[in-house]
Amino acid sequence: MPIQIRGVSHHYMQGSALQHAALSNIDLTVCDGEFLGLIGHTGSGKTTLVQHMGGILQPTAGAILVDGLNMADKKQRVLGRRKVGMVFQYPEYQLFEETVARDIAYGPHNMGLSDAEIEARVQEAMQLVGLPYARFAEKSPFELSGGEKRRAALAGIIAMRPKYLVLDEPMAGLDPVGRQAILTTIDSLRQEIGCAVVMVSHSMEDIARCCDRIAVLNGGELLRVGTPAEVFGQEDELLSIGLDLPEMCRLARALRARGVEVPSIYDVNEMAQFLLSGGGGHV
Amino acid sequence: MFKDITLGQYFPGNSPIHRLDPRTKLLLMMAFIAVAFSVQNMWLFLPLAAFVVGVTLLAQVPLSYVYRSLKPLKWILIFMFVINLLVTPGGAPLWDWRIIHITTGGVRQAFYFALRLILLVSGTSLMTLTTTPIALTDGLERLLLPLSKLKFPAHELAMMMTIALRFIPTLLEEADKIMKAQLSRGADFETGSLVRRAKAMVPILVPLFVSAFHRADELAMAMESRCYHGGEGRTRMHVLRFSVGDGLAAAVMLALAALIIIVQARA
Repeated sequence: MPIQIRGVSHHYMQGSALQHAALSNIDLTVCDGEFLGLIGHTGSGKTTLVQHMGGILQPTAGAILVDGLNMADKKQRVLGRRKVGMVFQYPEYQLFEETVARDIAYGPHNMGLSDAEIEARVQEAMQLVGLPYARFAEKSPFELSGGEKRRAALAGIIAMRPKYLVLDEPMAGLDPVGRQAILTTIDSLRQEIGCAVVMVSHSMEDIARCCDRIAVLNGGELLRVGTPAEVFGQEDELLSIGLDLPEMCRLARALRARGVEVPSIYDVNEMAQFLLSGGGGHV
Repeated sequence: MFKDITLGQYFPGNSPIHRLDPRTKLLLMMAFIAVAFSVQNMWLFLPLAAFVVGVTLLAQVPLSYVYRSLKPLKWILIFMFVINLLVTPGGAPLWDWRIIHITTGGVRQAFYFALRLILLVSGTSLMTLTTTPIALTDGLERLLLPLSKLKFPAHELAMMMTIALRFIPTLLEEADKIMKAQLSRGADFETGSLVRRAKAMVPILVPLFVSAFHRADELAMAMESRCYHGGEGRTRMHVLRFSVGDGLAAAVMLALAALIIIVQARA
């Protein structure tokens, strides 16, 4: 069963003069096993929306169902939260334990699992994020580098084996090596556990590369949901709400401006193939 | 979760009260408290209350704001009222029942105390309602400056207060963020015994302290790289100057104090 978001609105500071709508009337379904990208300009409500999925924020109107569990209900929310692994922006700030292994064990421990099970999950999670257990388990999380901290925090969520992994700008502020490590982790995670992933990102390249579907938010409203081809096909719409296009779309636009007929392609390899095969009738 | 807390209670405006020099407001507020605590006559609370209401109206601050600042005082007020009522000796006995003795002296003392407390809190909150925290620390620094001859770190103290005030909202936001993150890792802050709940705070406090120290370090570096070296020889962007309004305010306060003193001296 999926995460169903039904007619959700959220107002911050309700009842005060500073009240403002962060989300209005959102309808969206996160299907099992899919990779959903969430894009939108700063302040478009992406973070607010993903926090609703994790049951961290409650909608002012509408309902969220995670596998049929109503997140408005206190008891069902506790169960629902376990299915949704939330990775917040800059998750390295949530590390607190004395050792990396104990920090990763915090979530599974809260779920009331047995010590043996927790140990197994910690090892597995560290393996998945690329922090070798032997080297990192007994280290203090505060000794790690920025990228390693981020991966340790991610492992803390993975160890809870969520059915849905929600990532809020997981690559922000990382160098290319760190970004690649996170993306690889997400890929292998999907292969091994088969969880659905919701990812908020400003990098259109990453979104274009990974996602099965993309949801576009603008000013708290859901502007469009569709496959990458459908969404990136609407180039003018994306540009008009202040979003970037993937590199290949920009290239295609530039070529079109010079009279080369290029369909909307957002994948590097596809583009290369198209151009090398003499598509578009260029010289 | 913490987002809805408004910090400091400054009520923006441009009334004559808002425009007063923060030093004036600080000094007059202290004078007002001294006067309020020296009053020994029920009728004399009237001009003091009138003064508070008058200043509120002049400052164009809704009376409900002043009332709101009194609300948290409710339990202390009730507690102090009862204690004063029961333990103050003197005066004619009004009611005797087992160990409870209520006298006219007790009743009077209880009312005095409650009224003084109300005046004290409404007076100080009027000051914070009409003065930005930054102006207030500026004024405080200026008032404490003579003490720096005695090696009292007036400037440093003011700077620390300014920085602390500046970072309270930042820390709250951070605490909120960390709390949400741990919540989604299955943390439970709401159930269990007091000890359990206190323990549940560790995953919030540790990251909060780590980032606070980190931030302090960065701020210190940023200040030093802009040649901050303490208060000596430092000039100000906004130089505090007394104006006619400050003189008028002082005169009103003086008149109020004189009235109280003269009436009490006669009685």
